[in-house]
Amino acid sequence: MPTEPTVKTSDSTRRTTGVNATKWATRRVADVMLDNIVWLLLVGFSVVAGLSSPFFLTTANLQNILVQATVLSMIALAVGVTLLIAQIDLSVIGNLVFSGLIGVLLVRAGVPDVIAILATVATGTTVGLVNGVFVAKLKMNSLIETLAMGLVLTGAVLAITEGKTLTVAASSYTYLGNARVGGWPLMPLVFIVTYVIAGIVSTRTAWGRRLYAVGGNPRAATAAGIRIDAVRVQAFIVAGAIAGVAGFLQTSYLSGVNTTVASDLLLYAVAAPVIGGVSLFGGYGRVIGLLGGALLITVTQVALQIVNVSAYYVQMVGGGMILLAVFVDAIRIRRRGL
Amino acid sequence: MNSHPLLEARGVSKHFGAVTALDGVDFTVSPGAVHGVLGKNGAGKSTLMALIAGAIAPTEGRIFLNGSDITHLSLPERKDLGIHLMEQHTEIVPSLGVAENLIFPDYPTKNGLVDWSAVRARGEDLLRRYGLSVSCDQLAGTLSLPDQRKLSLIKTLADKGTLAILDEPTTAMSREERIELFEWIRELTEGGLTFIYITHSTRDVREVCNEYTVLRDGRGAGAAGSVTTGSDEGLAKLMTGVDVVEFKREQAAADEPLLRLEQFQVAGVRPVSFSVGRGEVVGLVGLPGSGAREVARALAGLQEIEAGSVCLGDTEVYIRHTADAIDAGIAYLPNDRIGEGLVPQLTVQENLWTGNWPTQQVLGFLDFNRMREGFAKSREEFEIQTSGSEQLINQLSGGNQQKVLLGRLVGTAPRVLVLDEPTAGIDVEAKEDVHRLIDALTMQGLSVLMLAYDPAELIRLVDRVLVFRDGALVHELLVDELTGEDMLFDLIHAHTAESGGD
Repeated sequence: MPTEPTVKTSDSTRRTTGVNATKWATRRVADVMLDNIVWLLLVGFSVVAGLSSPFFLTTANLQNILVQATVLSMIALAVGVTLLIAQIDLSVIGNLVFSGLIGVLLVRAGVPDVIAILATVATGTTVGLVNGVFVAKLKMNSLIETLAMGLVLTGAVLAITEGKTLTVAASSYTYLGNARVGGWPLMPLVFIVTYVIAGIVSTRTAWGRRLYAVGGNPRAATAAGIRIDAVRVQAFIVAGAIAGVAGFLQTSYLSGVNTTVASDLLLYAVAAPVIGGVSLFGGYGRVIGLLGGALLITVTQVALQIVNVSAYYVQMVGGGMILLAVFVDAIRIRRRGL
Repeated sequence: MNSHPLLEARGVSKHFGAVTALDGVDFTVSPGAVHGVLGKNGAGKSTLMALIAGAIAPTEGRIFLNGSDITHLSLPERKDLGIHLMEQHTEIVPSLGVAENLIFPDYPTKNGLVDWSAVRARGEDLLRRYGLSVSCDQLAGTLSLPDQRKLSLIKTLADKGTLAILDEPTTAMSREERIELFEWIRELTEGGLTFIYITHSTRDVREVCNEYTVLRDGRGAGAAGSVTTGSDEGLAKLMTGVDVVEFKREQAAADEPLLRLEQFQVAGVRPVSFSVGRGEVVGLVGLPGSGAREVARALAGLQEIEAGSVCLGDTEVYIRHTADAIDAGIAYLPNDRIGEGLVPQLTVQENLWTGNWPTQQVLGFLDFNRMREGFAKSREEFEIQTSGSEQLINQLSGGNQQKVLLGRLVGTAPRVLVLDEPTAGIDVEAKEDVHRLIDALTMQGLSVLMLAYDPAELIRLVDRVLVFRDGALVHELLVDELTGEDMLFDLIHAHTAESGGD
């Protein structure tokens, strides 16, 4: 009977005897910690902030954080979906602003709010479809294509608004972004529900698993009978749709639109998935990690404001956090031997 | 031959903590030899080579080069003495020219600028000296696989190499390419070079080595022997410690045809028509570019079918994508297991179900219990050795990875399996396992189309062979009509006596 270890290892670590079993357990713990680094940082950061300012650990601030995290977490999810298939969607911010503008323009033109909301999401979805076709069918490089698409959309908003802020009056369009139920803001519910759905789709549906296979090894996915072009187009459509929803949320919350609101969001939208353990090379990442990434970035920013760190330092800390995340990602990839 | 060995290791042991990787191994290499080091994964081959190259120091024992003790010398010092270890994955920059690859990164300069004529001169000199006839300006990535290996070997040896350690250099090569590389290696030994050839393939040892050492569980399993005395089975037994029983399939009785191809055409291949019976194993054989692989891949939906028809049973099927082939009941096992078969980021279980998720859904959601049960069943049926469903696929041995992929194919409920070199790069025991699995599947009524380059393997496993040559199907014969491996080998290669045949 082959009692040899079944794991292929280098000759030197061949025999998994008692010593190696302990070693292996240590490795496992380290792997789990690396996979959940974002939550460890989140807890650590919250404790420090809570000790520095009593206000940080209050319900009011928790609500504030959830509201602040809503748009970022949606956008991070959109980017995350495309990262999973080893592509990237950098047009999400342009898409968000543009979709929001369409919604605002329709409301201002007197179109019923429900139609305006649907049109906002439809706009984002359409942009996603265009991106998907360009990338998957015409084989454009997604990094450049979506960067350009983002510029076009942001530019279009600038051209249409001429840099001015367009506002909408309080209405059912602005309800979701501002309403409170039982003292709690309603808006975070959207991202919470979206994340629950995303978690289920990514782990429990065939479509979700296809994303991982296509991102992990497109040739193997093809040979396994997956239509990888279709999956790629679909992933971009989903990313666009989420960006459209985020566009609606943003304009609903601000009761209007202008081009500057989302200018620093793009970097964080890419950083959040990576902080949360989504591989930049595709095929690896979890929705819960994405959530952690988005929350960590939001918490950091809120905490720095609350504990009166000068606004001039916020950007530096944000950058440092992204560096840390990429560092952890690199270690993780090395350990997995991917 | 010189009576003094070129290299000698006496009683070398290596412990890593409580783990013994090598245990008192004696090892002797004659000058001018191609010395095979045979062993399964984990037998201690890489450790022994690292000791010889000087990458690690032995716990016990001494190593001698030309009679002088080199045990205390470091890796760079041993390099200066001419001992070079060639890694499995060679360091060629595909986007750079041949000459530049050879001198990289030590560019000759003139007035502070790269002296390209000196680069060329040096490259041409090396190519001539080592007998590699390729152009200096050609991009290294466009070279054939053996030429790329040769190029990296030349780069490693440059002027000062005397003993080169090759680690599985024929990975992913076809028979033809292997033979080409082997001939070149032999020529170099005539020029005074000595090789240590690490492999788990008894076939490679038989074909290129003139002496060998077998390692098993960190010990010498049979003192160095001369290859002429060792049979394939004998070597395999030394490696594994058990008698590897070569599987020989009982020929299936001709059954009604299941798969029929009519005037089936793919780019570069003349139209072919053939059929495969239910439960039959048909070998598609031919050199690379002969058309055998092209036909197989087109059938799997991985290459465009330009004309003709494919019928499964009574129904015609239209294949434009792998998904179409799978839906029709044709499942394909890729030749490139790592590149086209596995999703390395995913677990063993996920890899088993890749592409087959829709069969595991309840109300649109994946049923984890069913997937786990299915995995457990495949694990047992295919004897997949893994620590569990959550182990990453890239931690398994090649043979076990292959079994997972076979499990994936069977999970698509196929009627025809197209297997592209199913035993390439897996060890002897796993190879026999795969053979038995394929045979067992045909008993369940599956038909198999199989590509393989080893005539011996084909003869043991297939019922019928279709021989492709220069883009055409040239022979079709029952395995009983073959007089032996040599005949098949001759049929695959252009054989003038046969040029008018069929």
